Amino acid sequence: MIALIDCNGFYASCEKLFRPDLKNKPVIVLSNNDSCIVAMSEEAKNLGITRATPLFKIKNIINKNNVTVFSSNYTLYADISNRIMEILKNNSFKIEIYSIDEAFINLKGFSDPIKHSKKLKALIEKATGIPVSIGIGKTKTLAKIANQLAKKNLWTKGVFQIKHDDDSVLDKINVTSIWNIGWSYSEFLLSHNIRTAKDLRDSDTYWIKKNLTINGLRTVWELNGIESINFETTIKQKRGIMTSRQFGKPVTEFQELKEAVAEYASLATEKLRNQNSLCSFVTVTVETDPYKSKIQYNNSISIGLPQASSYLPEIIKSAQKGLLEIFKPNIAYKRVRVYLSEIKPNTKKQLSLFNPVKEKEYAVMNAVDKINKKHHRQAVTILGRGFKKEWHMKREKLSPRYTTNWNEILQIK
Amino acid sequence: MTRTDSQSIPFFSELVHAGFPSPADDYIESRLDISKLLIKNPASTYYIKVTGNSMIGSGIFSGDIIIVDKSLTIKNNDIIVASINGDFTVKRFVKENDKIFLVPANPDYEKIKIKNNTDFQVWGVVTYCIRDFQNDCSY
Repeated sequence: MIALIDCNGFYASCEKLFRPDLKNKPVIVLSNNDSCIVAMSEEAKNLGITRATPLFKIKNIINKNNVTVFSSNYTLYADISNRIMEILKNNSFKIEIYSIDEAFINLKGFSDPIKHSKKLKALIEKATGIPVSIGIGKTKTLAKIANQLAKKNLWTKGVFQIKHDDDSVLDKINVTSIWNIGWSYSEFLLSHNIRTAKDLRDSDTYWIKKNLTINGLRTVWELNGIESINFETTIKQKRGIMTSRQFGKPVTEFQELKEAVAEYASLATEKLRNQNSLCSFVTVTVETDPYKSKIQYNNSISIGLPQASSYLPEIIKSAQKGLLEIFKPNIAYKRVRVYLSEIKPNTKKQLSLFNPVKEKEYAVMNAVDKINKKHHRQAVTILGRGFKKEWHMKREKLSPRYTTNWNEILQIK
Repeated sequence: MTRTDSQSIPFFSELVHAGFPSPADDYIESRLDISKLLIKNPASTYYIKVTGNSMIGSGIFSGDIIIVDKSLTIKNNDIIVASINGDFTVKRFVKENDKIFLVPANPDYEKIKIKNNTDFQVWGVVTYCIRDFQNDCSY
């Protein structure tokens, strides 16, 4: 039996944990740059606020209802997430962390999965203060559906189990909300009169394989109670690593863009090095604001590295070289992306016989990594990244890093 | 923070001299690690700085850092962190004949009776208190 544990309004719940004055009050959390709503508490949802709405559109609702607004405090959320995952690890047979606030666990060995899930829910809420919902099913896809129902229906008390032959339940689930069925597939399915999870479960497997590929077929099998989507217990190596940010204010100067590219390349390379990988292509993309810019200019360029690498100065140089090629003056850029691709594991073989200087480069990077890990991220960095950073992300309503910074821990009387 | 972050495991960092083992070899133990003593449940442990004087009688002074475990079930007379009407406080939890009180440890403070309509919620149990004697303002 598989359970999907999903936190309720995760970011908002994390913020409320250290703010008892906000209990039962509407809270929203903003995305990068404080631009859109990315999470909200139940009370905020009841005011009609929806995710992805730009902040400026609901200023009235916020003021009228005393909604408390926070910028995303990723540092805090990551730590709370780690705590929840640790508790799950200690209370299950196997765990797959799916996202910052979701995990699949295998309940093999527990004779009463609902009873155990209720215990787990209570344990997590007591130990971390974060409310969760748990969906149980024989497969991940069924567990996901059960989780949606647990969240939506208060009478379940946050824990719900579904069986593949629960026809009446599955017939009420729209295909659009089934895991791994994207928008394009659901349009296609609806046009062929496959509207619900029950319809999809009972559809012809040959036809599904032909039109939805093997992944669609796997979903159908899972709806039938057959485990087909692999239970991964290790983190898959990322196939591409992207760092992308919107600028607080549009940027027009090349020097500023160059600094931004260096910063994002550093962040992406750090992730690359953390998973012990190398990349062979660096892609840089620049974009203007589709709503506000008078002149629209979006362009992208990929620079191939002579050899797969994770040497930061080389990656930054390539990214900045690419930027120079696609940069046009007098344009208000809103976003820059740096994408590292063609990723492969870093084995000793990559050190080329023709490039003895590589040994020294890797020694330098290893030393930098060690220092950064010990002190804080990006403590040692490349000068090209710039210090003024006027284009830095706007995060005006950030809460303290209660659990990772001694200067910002909770203070009480 | 997980316990494995600060684990010290002994290993042989020097060449073993051939033919002359140390008599201490069989008795090596890991060096004392204070986090193992203070933190039994890392996933539910938090650090909070105290800024008032309501608990000095129990040895908690302004400026101290208390270690709080949210997973423990509270027992009578535990010192706890709780929220009352939206504000955090640290007090001793005392249950007398079905009545709950939050009791300070300082004659200048009143004990708080929890009534039916009091918005009261336990946040966690205080397990240890840390005082920095190099920066002690309590004397």
